Amino acid sequence: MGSAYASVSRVRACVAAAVLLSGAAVMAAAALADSRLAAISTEEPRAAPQGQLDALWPAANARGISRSAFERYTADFILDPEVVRLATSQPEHVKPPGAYVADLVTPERVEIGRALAAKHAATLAAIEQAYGVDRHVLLAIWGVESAYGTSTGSRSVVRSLATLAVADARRAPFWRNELIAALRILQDGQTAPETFVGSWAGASGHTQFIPSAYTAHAVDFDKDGRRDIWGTVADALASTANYLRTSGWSAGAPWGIEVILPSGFDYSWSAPGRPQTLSQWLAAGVRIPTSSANLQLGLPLQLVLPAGAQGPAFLVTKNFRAILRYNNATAYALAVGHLADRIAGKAALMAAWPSADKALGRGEREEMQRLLTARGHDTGGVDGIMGDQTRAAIRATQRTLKLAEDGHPSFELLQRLRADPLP
Amino acid sequence: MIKTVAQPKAVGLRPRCHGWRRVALLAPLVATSVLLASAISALPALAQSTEAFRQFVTELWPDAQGMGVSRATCDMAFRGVEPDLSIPDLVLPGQAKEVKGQAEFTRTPAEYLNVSHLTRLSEQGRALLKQHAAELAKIEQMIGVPRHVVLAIWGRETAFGAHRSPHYAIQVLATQAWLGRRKDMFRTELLNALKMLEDKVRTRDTMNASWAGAMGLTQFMPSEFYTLAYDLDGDGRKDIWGSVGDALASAANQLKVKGWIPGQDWGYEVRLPASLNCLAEGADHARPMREWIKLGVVRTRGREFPADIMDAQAFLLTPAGSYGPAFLALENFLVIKRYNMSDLYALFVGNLADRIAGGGDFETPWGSVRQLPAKSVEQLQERMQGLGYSVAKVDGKAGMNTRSLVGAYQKANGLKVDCWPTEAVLTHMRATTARGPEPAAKPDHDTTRGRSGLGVR
Repeated sequence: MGSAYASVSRVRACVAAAVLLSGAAVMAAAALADSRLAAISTEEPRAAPQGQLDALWPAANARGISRSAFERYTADFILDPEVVRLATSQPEHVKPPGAYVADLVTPERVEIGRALAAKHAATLAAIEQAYGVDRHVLLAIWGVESAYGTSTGSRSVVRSLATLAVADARRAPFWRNELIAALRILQDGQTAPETFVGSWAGASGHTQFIPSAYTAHAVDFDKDGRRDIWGTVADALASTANYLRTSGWSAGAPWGIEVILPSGFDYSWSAPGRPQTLSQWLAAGVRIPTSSANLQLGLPLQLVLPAGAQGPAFLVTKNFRAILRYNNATAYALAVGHLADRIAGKAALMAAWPSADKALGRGEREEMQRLLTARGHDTGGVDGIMGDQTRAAIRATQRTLKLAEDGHPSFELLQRLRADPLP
Repeated sequence: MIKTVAQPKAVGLRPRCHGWRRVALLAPLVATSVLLASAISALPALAQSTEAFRQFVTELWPDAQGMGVSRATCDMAFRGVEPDLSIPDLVLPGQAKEVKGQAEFTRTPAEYLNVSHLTRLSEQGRALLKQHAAELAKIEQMIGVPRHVVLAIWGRETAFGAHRSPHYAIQVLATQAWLGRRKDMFRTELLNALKMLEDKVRTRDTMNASWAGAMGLTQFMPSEFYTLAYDLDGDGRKDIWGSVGDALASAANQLKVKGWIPGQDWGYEVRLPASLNCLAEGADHARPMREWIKLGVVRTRGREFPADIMDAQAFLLTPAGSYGPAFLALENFLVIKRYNMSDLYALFVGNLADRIAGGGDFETPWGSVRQLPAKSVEQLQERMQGLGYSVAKVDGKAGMNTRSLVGAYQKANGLKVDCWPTEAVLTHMRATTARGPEPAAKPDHDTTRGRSGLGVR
């Protein structure tokens, strides 16, 4: 699974989030992902030029699609202008992580999750047994991705992917690959065109798999001959468990725990790639405020500060990384982890999210990258994406300015850089 | 109304070698640590740390038992012991204070090879040479390591027994095994230290050690006590604490086992021809003595190299880059270095041995260089690694490998070649890496050859 998948799975979850939060501002990661789609034509073609999809036939044929199936599923294709619009929209205002988590981990979602944990107890136990993935995490992904199957999207997966394959020139190979995988799903009778519906980016089913993820990871857990992530909860959750296990999930370990940092803490220890044992964190004065996490003393734990030094702090295991493989956004993985904990009956977060935290919009993020670059810190270009390199540049400039070195792209830091553009 | 909460009393949190009864009852078949976070989450921060340490000790027990340590000994060894967070080489993430390092890597060559210190030790050494002549002759005869070198080790390690080992061995070894950079190594040493208590080699009151757990006149690690200590006086005990003969013979035995070549020196101070500089430093660039001589390398103070070492492999050593003396080091330099993994340590011992044998100071004085802080050396090593230089290890220590790669970087970028890591070189590297790695910045010599002579002790 390459980086292309990671960014698309991000698109998928953003859409799921947008659907769930009906009308709410789209999360920060949505804008990140949208920047990847900037190459899409903003015109709104009503119909595809003849022969656009025919060009796909040799590749589809090579992957075992019959001529009759190809024609059956693509013959009456017309572009979906709404998909083009959604893929090109670039929301300027995005949510800070605290608001994102709060909007996803609602009392209702926790309550429904607990009810479903009871209802599907036997299935979940069997999945846990087979894949070693904690049932509460599976319920949480289900809850976050599709509000437990109540909001799986209503667009034809084939039409959405075909639209993107035609309209998004820059990423056409990726979309074409997904489209062919989607055709294969239909040809194999895994589902029918009427039920093969999902997000504008082609994610479908209870846990919102894109077709290539389905091909690679979906399983037929109830042994009815179909890997039915659309209509069978057991198949959808087992497929998700299988995906997490493939992404490095370690049985028996939690995703992470919230911690309280001691005063005078050096926040540069939240930089990626500095895992330490729980013993080490405890000896350094870090405290676990909530109970009942099953952590080995020697387990390597990475410090994560989703909203910077002012917000909650977490020590996460490699299982957090596995959730990130599902959708590469810290706020997403945190929302899943925390929702899982809440469904399991654990307490709410102890620390408050910083009330002043204002997520930077796309233009502001690019401005920050330009200001950092001007100060001699390499951000890997100006693309509006707050990736590892940009965050390392933020840490470097925070070090120079003697600020808490948390790598967080805060509005406060942007103002500081604006006021003092060069050291 | 005052709510009385049963505070976890210190006595209940004291480390012991066997499982906590409550935990054992809750989870008889599961590793006790599984319940750790829930067990300790109710405690204040200090108590959480104490409890984690207690758990660590508990988990140690099966291995200790496997080494023949009794529960009574183990409990006695740990009674009242708390980790000592003030010792060097620990990883305490988020603590603002700079990590302390070994003197060998935080001091400049001029500071470490302090002349008045060396002069004083060599005077004492010459007196001890007479005082212990009988033992030293026996050591040379039985083990084959020269008396001056053995005395120099003693002088370097404890100033001939004047240095007190200030720590309780179990405490520092447990702290290192729990929080140190080299946990596995120290865990083994801790188990050996427990065995020493079990075997009544030492008692708890006499088990003093350095911050790294080294003990006795010649500073042996517990595992070394079992594998390398030597009973010279034949009283049935390997007494590296009270018997000078045993301690020195043990040091000699350690050098012998680590490859001492009888009849050879550790190395020589040299003057380099204009064609050679610090770029040629390091065991990776070793060649026979005769080739160095052919290249124009001469010994200082007009002395000749011994005639019988012309085929011996030698490598160039420039501890201060181009700002100080240069040396041709032989295999025995590396053998001394295996006693303590530092060039400066080996050079100190080598020079002290020469001084005890009648030699003196180096001809070329040390320049006034400043030691880059470990954190900056680490950054520099990371940058060089990113640029494709074969950095052996990112460890914050500016050893031979790092110095010669700094020289290679300076040469490739048209900078003054002095092989000395400075803030200026680091700044230049930051600018280079910001532009992206350039093939032109690759080292121009082969640094990928084996480093077999530089095993980590």
